[in-house]
Amino acid sequence: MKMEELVKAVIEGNAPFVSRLVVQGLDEGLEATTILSEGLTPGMSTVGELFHQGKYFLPEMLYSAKAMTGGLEHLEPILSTSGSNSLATVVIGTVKGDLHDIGKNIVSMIMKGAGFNVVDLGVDVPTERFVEVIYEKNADILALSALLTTTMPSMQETIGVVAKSGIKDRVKVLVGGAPITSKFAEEIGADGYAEDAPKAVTKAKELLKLS
Amino acid sequence: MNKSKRSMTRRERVVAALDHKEPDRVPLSMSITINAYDNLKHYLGMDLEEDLNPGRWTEVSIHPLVAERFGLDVIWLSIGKAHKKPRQSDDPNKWYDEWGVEWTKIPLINGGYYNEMTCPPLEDATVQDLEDFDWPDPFDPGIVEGVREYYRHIHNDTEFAILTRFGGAVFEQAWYLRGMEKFLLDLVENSEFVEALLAKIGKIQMALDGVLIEAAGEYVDILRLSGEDMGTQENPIISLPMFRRMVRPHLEKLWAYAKEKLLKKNQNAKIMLHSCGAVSPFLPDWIDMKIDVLDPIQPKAKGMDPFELKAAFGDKLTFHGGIDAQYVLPFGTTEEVREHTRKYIKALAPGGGYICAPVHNVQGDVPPENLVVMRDAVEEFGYYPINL
Repeated sequence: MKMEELVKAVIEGNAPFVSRLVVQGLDEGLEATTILSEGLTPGMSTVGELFHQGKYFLPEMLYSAKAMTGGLEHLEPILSTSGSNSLATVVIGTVKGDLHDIGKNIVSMIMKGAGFNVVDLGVDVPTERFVEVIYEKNADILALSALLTTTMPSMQETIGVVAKSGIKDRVKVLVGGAPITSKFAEEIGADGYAEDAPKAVTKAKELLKLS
Repeated sequence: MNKSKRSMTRRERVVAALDHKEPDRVPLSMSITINAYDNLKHYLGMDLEEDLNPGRWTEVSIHPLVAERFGLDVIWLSIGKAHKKPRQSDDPNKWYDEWGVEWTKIPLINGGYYNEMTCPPLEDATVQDLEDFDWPDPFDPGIVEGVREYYRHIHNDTEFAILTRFGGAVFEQAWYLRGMEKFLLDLVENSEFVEALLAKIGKIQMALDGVLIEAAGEYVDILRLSGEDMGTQENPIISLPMFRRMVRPHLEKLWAYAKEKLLKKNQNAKIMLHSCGAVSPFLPDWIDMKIDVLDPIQPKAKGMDPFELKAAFGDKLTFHGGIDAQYVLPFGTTEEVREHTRKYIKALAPGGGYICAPVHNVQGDVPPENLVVMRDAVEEFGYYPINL
């Protein structure tokens, strides 16, 4: 299996070919972590760049993310049994009272593609649930999403509950969503803000000093 | 209110602005959710018994007495409800709209509620399934019931300009039915389905426009071609080539039909497109597709600078909106609301072609005080000649 072919197949969103190449790579004895870090991750990273350059839009990015996710499914059983080889663990969700998930889903997929272990709690997530899972998974990043101005207070409340639980110094909080700004992020005590999914990956790496 | 400077009726003011002529003052328009409407009425000290009938987004029609007291120049009217009842849910917090989309009432933290789509009925559908789907009937007699009489009453007995939506969205309705993620993927991998779905929806919306324009078109000043959102905060949702290839043909047919039919009823009427987000790359196409009015000029979306938009497209488009709902109205101080309103008047009002309005249905977290500050800023800064 040629790694550059896998990278290209992710960029083009060719799901069947991505899956075939990943399986072929494993059959040839390549490490799952190598296939992820040298195939899927650079593919999605280029997709993120194309998105920022205005060459890709949401449909194309989702199409590539879907192909990448298909490839990752072959790797996950191996990655999870071979110990933690992920960059870090991200707990992600849309805050209480907010049911919007497309932005959060894209961040979730792209973070997986970048090599993070992502625990997606879905939408309308109670504040206490975030805290429980941060403990349980020993998370490094808490990523919160909100689309509505009326649910922005939930974001603040969640960060407050995390702080009260005494785990704020163990986890970095990343926030995003249409009405969110870096100023608001700062005001509510978040560690970082990203305006789109590829930037969320960059920001998460920056916060954890992985870049 | 600065009545001494007033020299036009509310409708005349709107018609002049739409015609790219300077009216006496920048007109004011607003749509509002039930939560914010209750707060506003309370703030204005208006104890009005009303049978409110919130739409999908919890938006309600503003009573003419409230519109008059507040100082709106445009009044948003609704249409009738189909006689055929939509599917019923066993869950009291869930309901279905006429398209079969499941919605759930979600309580808001600070009181009130909002409706969210929770189940798209065509998520797993094939092209063949579209033939058997239970589509809404645009010819249901309930839809036009009382419309002509009420629109005529507002037109004849009040000064307000009338803004309404008849048939709704095509592109946006498609993702309500399919689910957004699935629909975005369809655009890349299942163009046959996209084509079939947009054609089905377009046909229904066109028939709705047809029957309602027939019923009350002569009273309509602005026909809103619904929430055809094509932008995110940062970018258009889809690329311009994809828009042209897959979406434009459907919208063009619908808009041309609506405009032609409406103008036969009222030669001064205009068609308005509502599209949230960063949509500036689409504007030349929309102008080419004969859109007269663009709503809402979302301030915090990328590339939507009002000065640049006015310079580039101000001779062809009237702008409706501009007053930010993502920060200024819900969270801004009095001074921030005043300054923001002043800025949009300064940018968009010269030469006419601007109707000031919040960029979205005002939500329950907007203090009524801020709406009053917005209105007062229009009174303070909105008289022509604009000299800011």
